[in-house]
Amino acid sequence: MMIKRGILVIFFSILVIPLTCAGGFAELNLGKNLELGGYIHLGGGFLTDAPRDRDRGYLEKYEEFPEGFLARTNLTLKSKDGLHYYKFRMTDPGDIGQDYLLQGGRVGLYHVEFEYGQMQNLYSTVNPFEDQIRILLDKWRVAGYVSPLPSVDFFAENTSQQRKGKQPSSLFGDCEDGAFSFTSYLRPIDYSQNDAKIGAAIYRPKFQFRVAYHNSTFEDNIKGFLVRPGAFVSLPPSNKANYVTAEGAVNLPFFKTRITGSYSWGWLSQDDIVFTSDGGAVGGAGLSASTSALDISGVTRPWDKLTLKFSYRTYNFENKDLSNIILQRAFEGTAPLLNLEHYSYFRQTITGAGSYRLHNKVAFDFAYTYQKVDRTFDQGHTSNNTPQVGVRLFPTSWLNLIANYAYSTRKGSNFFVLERGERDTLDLHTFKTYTGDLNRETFNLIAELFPRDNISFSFNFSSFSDDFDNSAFGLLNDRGWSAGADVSWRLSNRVALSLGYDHQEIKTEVRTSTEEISLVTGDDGPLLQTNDSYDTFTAKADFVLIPKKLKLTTGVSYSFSRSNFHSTVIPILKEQFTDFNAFLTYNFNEHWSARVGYIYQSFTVTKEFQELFLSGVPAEADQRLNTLSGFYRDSDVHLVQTFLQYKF
Amino acid sequence: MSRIFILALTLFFLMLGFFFSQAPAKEPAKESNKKAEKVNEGYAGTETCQACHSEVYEQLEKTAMGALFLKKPRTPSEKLGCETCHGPGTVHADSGGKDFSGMVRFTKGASSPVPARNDACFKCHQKRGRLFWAGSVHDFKGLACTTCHVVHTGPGVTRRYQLASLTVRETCLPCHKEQVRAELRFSHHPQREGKMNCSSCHNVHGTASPKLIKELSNKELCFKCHAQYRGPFLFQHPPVMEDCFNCHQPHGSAYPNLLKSPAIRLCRECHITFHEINFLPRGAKARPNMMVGTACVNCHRNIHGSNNFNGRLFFF
Repeated sequence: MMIKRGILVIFFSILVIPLTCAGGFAELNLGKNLELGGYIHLGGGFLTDAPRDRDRGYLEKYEEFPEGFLARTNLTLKSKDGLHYYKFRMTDPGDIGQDYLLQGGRVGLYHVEFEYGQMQNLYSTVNPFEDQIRILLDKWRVAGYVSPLPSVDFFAENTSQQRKGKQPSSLFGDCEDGAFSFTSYLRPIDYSQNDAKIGAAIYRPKFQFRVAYHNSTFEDNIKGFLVRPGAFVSLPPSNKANYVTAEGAVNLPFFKTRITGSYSWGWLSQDDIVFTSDGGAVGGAGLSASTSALDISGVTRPWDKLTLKFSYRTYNFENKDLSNIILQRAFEGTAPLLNLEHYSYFRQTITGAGSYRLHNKVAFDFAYTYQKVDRTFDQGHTSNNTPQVGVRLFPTSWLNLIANYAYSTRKGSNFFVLERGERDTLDLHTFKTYTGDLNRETFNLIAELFPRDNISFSFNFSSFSDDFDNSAFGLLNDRGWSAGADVSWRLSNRVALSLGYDHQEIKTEVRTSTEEISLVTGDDGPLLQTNDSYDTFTAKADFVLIPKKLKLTTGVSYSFSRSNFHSTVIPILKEQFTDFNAFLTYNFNEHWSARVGYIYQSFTVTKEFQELFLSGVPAEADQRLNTLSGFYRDSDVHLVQTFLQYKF
Repeated sequence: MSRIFILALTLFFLMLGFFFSQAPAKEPAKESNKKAEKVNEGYAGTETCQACHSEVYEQLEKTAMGALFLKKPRTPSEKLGCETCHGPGTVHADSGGKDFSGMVRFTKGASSPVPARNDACFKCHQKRGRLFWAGSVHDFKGLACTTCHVVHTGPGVTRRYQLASLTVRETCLPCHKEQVRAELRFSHHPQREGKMNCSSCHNVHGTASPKLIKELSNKELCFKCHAQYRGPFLFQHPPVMEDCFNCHQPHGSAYPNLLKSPAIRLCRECHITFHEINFLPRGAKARPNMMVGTACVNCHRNIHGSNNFNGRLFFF
């Protein structure tokens, strides 16, 4: 905490230093060789109806509304020749959501930057006892590079993330009327994550080569949590990952050919304490795994109209835990179960692609991809064939048409862990959707029209269809389409408008079975259908009311989603989010201006959904249950902001 | 420990910065100058360009590239100024601005083919994150660098990355509407709050990985911020081990936690025989509340993996 305060003081000092030097401002000459640019916005904001924290709900999911004193700056201090620079950006200091960025360097020689940002993840606001159930995230980043020669780079980056707070969670059991009940609790969170990267690169016209090392550590400072006697929940274990990457490219002297290659090897390890559900320590986990990825690609242009590409890529994930003693004990020496979870897989992808430009008005694209995934211990093999074609048409200077189509077939093996009816003691009736047979079609179309220089239209359409052939159960199919239109129109130098609308439909069918065979509806079990639809509308309008003096900018975004579960029990879920903002800016002179803004945001969600969640729950449990994630109150917020702005 | 590392790294960079800012930029060797003179045949010189295009020159001066080319060139190529990118301009200047032969032009509708335009940029910008541009999906679709970036005109010329639109979001929107507008949905990453943008996860200039993602695979990408799910765990959930996107939709979802479909249906895509459809306890009344919230995960809480000795069913 002390460090955070200290760094904030440094940031503020950095902000103040250029201001004190500035004196009279205005495209400032700081001494003979320096000039100051950018802007400072100082002002305030207030919510007109001052809702309580819990009533702001979902609208403050990631940051609080900017209220009270507000400051936003973006300052640049440059040498007269433009080579040395120093930049400072700051947003909403002191608020949750504050951001600071400090950069400095010499163009082409070195660059260094420090960044600090904060945000929250607000999970729920409907708990009667806790106003805000959230995690606060603090993120620090320092990065930079040095180019002692134009062709040589050394670079480094370190990112630290700290998460603290409470997260809604739950645990099975705790109700009197039998199985399948659960109780909610707030899980304490104290995570630290640090990612450090360092590397070097050499760039020559004919070849480029880069090596990098990445170290990532995750520390959970709370190892576990006793929810109730006999229910000790393990929190995510501390773990480490190290990656070494080498990548390079060679430009060959014929047909503008370029060969690129990349190899990365990573080592994952986890040795956190393993607890039992009673809270007893068993020992260090001692688990590890490795990853490696290889990519080799070649691109060639035998002549200007034709581009050809070939690539081969592998990704290997290897569990190294099979002889782990704790693992053997946890799985009670049951090899099939252990193999089910601790298998390794190897993914290979081969792609051949081409692009042929018939002339300036027509271009064709074609590609073929073959992917194969092999899993150890008979955990399934999948192969995937995907041919795709595309066309780009530019028939006139005012029309662009881009379309592509892909048809993918996936063949899997062993994607039923057990056949239906083949019940045994393992009780594993699982269909692996992600490895099962699948036919997939996708189509995309974009049409852009520019009838006049000041008007543009665009239309987009896309569709997809996933059919899990040979699947009697699980996900059977997943189909959808979306269509939209946009228009941008600059009516004059004083008025600019843009409008956009999109609609999307998705339909999913899942056929399930039940544990109690006697209750199965028909031979095939119940069919669960879900229909989702999304409507999105955006609009922007900018008006210059008095040239060079008064400007009005407005924008609105509206999103509505509707999910129909075709169930007599689960209601239709509707969610709506609206954002409207309008800002009036008056320029007193070249440097000074005033800005007044109004922001309206609204969120609504089907209440029956939450009521359903609370139904059938013992009264004393109600207040705990509604701590669960994703439940927010409907919210309407009116925010007014004013700023005095200075532009250098 | 990590704080000490940050401080050490900071000091290291400050020292490097101090050292290199004191050192004069390395002047091209005499031999290089000779080479440059040879190359200069057909080149009109920056002053000639400036005479007719003074407004463009002034804009270029304000950019990092302009500062380097026009004031402190490091290589013979950079010394050519405007003609570093546009090619030799003597013919153009002699014709009073009418003849563009031999030049590369970047304006919309100009006759220079996209590969020729991009080659001009990649003479210098094949570094860092642009190593894999050739053959990337954007290269294949015929995108010019100047489709997204501006060099000396446009609203974003003095901004970071010199984007043609004011933000990364607006730059990607024309071709990726579905993905960009998904940020308005109920569950979303903090894009619309400005804490992330498309380039937080994607390197639009090409990667060795599919979908232009910045890391080795989708998993490693997510672990950049969510390393708590990295494991390895004592009890692992296979779809998590293979790909986070088996269950999650990263661009935006109607369902909590960016799930692809409602939790009650999502789990049943694979787990076809577990529990009653309405979660009927044996011989007891229906418990519809089990179907909402996080549904199955209401009980199987550590679904990403459990490190508890009794965590086989991801309860603990």
